[in-house]
Amino acid sequence: MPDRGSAGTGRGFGRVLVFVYGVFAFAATGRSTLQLTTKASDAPLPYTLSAVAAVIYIVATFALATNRRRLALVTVGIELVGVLTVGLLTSALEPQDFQDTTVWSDFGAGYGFVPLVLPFVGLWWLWRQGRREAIVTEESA
Amino acid sequence: MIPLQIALTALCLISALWLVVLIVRDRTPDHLLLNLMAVIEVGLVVHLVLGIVRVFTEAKVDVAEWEYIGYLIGAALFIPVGVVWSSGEKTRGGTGVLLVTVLLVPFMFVRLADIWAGGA
Repeated sequence: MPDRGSAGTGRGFGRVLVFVYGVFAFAATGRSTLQLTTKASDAPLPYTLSAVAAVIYIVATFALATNRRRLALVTVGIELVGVLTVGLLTSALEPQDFQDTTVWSDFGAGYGFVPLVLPFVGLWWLWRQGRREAIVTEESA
Repeated sequence: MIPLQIALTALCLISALWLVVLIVRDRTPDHLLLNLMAVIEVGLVVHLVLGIVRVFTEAKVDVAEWEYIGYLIGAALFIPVGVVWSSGEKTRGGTGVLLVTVLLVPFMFVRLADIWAGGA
């Protein structure tokens, strides 16, 4: 049963983190919906990756907000792999092979590189909250 | 940038500075600041309406209309959602959420200008 008390991943600084994840969930969902409904066949690979990014951000936001740490760890981990992979792909491939942008293109340069920084902050926060909980458990034992 | 965007950007930056001071001093937002953010939000709703009219009457063919409207809506949504989300957290974290909202608004204006120029 997830703990929704004061030590949860959605409390304190976690409020800010969840909000930023929510903004990216909104941005990635909007971008993906627009791409898939208006021009799906133009660039299947970027558009699929946009949709994947949207789902990851939505689930990560939900997991962090409701203190589901394992789910948060998995989604933030996928996010980190995603932004690094897509970032490398977009800088290695020619523009004609990667025809349109995703949130993760060029390591998130279109969003002030926040998509690159965000998973590291997310992992740090989860690690810190995990340690805090371990200390609390030890003290109450 | 249109004059309304310049005015709103100025108000957002004033709010941002104010919020930084509050975070440093570990205070919760006062009524004056919340009123200022309400004024910004009214301005953003006007901005949304004007923007939708503008995109359908003045835009060049290569402007991505729906992307533009998406950004207009996003710009108007962040502050109310942020205020609701921060209200459950009367700490620096809650104040930090408000800081993110007022910093997002000028960023959205930049993106709107990019889309308007046709090179988003």
